[in-house]
Amino acid sequence: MRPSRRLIALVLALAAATVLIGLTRQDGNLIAGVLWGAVALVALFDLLLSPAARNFTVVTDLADAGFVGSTTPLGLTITAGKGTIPRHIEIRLTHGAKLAMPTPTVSLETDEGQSTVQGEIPLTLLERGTANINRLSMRFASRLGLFEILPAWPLDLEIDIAPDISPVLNGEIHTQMLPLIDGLKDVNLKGEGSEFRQLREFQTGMDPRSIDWKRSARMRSLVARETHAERNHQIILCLDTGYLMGERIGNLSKLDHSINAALSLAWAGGLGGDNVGFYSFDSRPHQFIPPQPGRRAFGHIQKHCATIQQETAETNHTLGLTQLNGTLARRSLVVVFSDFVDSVTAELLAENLAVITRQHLVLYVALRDPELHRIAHTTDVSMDAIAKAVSAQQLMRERRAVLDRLRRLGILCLDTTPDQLTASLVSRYIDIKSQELI
Amino acid sequence: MAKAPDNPDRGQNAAIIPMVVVGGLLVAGFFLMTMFGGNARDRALDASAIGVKALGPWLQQADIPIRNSHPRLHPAVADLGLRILPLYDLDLRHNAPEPDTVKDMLNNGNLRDILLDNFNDKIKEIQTVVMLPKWRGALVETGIAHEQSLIPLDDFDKVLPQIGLRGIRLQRGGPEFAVETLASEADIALFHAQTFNRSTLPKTCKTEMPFKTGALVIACQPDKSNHTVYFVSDPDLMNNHGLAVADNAANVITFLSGLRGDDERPVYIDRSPDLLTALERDDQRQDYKRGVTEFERFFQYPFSIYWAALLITLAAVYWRGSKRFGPFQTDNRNTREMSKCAAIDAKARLLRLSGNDGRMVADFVHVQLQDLSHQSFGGDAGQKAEARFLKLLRRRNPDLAQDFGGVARSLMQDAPAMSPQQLHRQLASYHALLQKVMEHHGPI
Repeated sequence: MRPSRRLIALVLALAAATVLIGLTRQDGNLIAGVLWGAVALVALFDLLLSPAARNFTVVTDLADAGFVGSTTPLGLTITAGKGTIPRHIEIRLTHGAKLAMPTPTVSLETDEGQSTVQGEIPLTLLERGTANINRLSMRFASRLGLFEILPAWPLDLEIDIAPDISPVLNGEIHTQMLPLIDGLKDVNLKGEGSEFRQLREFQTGMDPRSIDWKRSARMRSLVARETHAERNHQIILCLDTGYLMGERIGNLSKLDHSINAALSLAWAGGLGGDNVGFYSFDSRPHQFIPPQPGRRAFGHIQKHCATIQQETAETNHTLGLTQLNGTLARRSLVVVFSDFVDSVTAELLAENLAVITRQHLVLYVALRDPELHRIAHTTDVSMDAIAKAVSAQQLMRERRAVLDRLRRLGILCLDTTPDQLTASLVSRYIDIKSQELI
Repeated sequence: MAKAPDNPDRGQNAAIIPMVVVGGLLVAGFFLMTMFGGNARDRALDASAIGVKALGPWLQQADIPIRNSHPRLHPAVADLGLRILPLYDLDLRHNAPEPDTVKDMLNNGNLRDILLDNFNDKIKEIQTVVMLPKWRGALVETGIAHEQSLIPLDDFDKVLPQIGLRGIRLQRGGPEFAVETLASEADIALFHAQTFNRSTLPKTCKTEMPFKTGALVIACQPDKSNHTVYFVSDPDLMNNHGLAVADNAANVITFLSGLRGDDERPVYIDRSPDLLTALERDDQRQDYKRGVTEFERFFQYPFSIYWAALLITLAAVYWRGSKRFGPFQTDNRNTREMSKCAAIDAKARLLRLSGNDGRMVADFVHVQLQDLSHQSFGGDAGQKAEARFLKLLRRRNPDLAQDFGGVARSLMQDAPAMSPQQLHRQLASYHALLQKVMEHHGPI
């Protein structure tokens, strides 16, 4: 419990009045005493009328786990032991950095005469790991508004935050991968690629070059070779976990966006019949998970991704990528999730990617910051806004120059916003497979 | 589903200390307010029968300017002609204890303590009329002048030597009013008239106003003082109830007018025991004694209620500040985001400081046109990007293309030479036209 702003204002006004009394009256003790005494009595009366902090009980309800970047509700039931719940209640939570509330204070409104109120506090899950909620603080005004009653309850709530695999679970990736999957819905890429699939009777409209003349002679009718995209390729998901990947875009860091997209690609690679491996590095190389087929790889990678920690040191691209290059024996699709600040810091990145490109196909994934785009394309005509726009445009120009240089080196680049990353990445993967770039 | 503990967490140890401090401040505040409220007694004394509150209006009525003492006003000594100083203290060297019981209050002869130093300073500053005490507190409390309310003459043994009347004896008349008619044919009537015994007057004192067998007012010349001090043996001559008796008031006016002579300066009715007048002192070092009394003045009215109000306000504010609702408010912004924003802000600031706003705007427009061209044609068209895009726009909307192209070209070519106002106008029209262009082509 503490005095409200109203009481503080009253006290300050009374203090001012006391000064005036002292200046204007030769004996103002009585008047000042009466004024202060009246306020003290009203305050005491207010306290007697108001419900005590210990009058309330709180029951909470929180899910055990959730995906990073998603929002999960914390259910609350507040019950008054005696009397009714105040009309207006404010709630604050003490929680770790891995959680966020939409606003620091959540308000609950109740009807007159209610003894129980239920509500939900939406919590945004910001980082992978285990998030804690330690304390629930409540605030409501006393009956006359002279005090704020501040009950608080210690909580011991935990929620496990896992990488977001909702595109995998809800079938989004599967739907996107349908063109590459064998079966009734295998429609688009049949006939493309170089891997033999089957012989079939030649139909008018088919490419005459697909006719297998030897077998046609043996069968005494025209038979065409049907091919499909090659399978059993190696895909290596290479994740930079260094300092720059900690930059937050929207609710999540670049690292979390990258992990989410990498897991979706791992699932897509499994569906596409490829072997998927995983590798991460920052100032030094970390664990390398050798390429494995299908869903087994996804399980391993998902488990490993849940434990990846953000590094505060600068990334050593030379050490990390050289280590990877030495590990890989077979030509692979190396998907590098990394970032750079400007063209100077991107030099080492470009050089090392160029080395890998000699043997492997490299897809460099960079995340575009929508905030930078917003600053660069301002609609404000003030000179300060224009100056910021120009400096943001310079950053974007440098970034574009680096990506152009990477493209000229034969590196595939994917520069996209976080909300489009997963779809763009899987789409690019399908393109790579259909074009047999690996 | 988890249930929180039944009793809210009170953060026990953390909560107790602020509450103790708040409680202490509140108690101290109210203590000050109640304990140092002694000024009411002074006001009651001034308004009582033996007070001199009525003397001022009487004198003003007789066109004698007066000035009442005020605890926060300090008139210059040079601005005052005569001081009237009622004395309610029987021992100027010591403060009398506060009366504890009603009986003590009724028998109390020290109704207002005054320091001897203050008294001496007062009589040395200007010509002063000192009214000797006569009545005890019973008269103030009951309002009845009774023989038993008189201060015994023996009690004057201390005060008379202290005020420079060593050896002089006081005497009192009978239980009824004693009346004396002066030369002005105005009567003076005094109840239990208190006068100086003329035979005990020293050479330094002379009778100024005789009364019956004694002297009602004597004039004395203190040592080391240039000003004569007039001692009125019976304060009933000039106090609230005495002024209304017989022709006392007329006699007082005549007496004071005689003392003032041609002096136009006001009569200072000094009801305060403190030395309120301001002396013009020279720049030489002035030594004076500091004692507990000076410090005590910080806790006398009106400072007493100021301190009390301050303490109560502090207690309330500290109480509010000591209790926090919810967790600490932290700056949750990511430092990496901040560093990028800070870099953009710093570069923008440098651009502004360089003073090349025109070139900056030209670059801005140029890049935007390149973006529009890239959006329309893809790839990097280089220097021809703007021309290609404007050509495309001209095919779709010739009027818009003409306006937009004109403004954009003007900004790209002439912006460095434009005045800030012109630049702002051109930019505003450029943005208005850009909005229309984007309606056709979508956002950049």
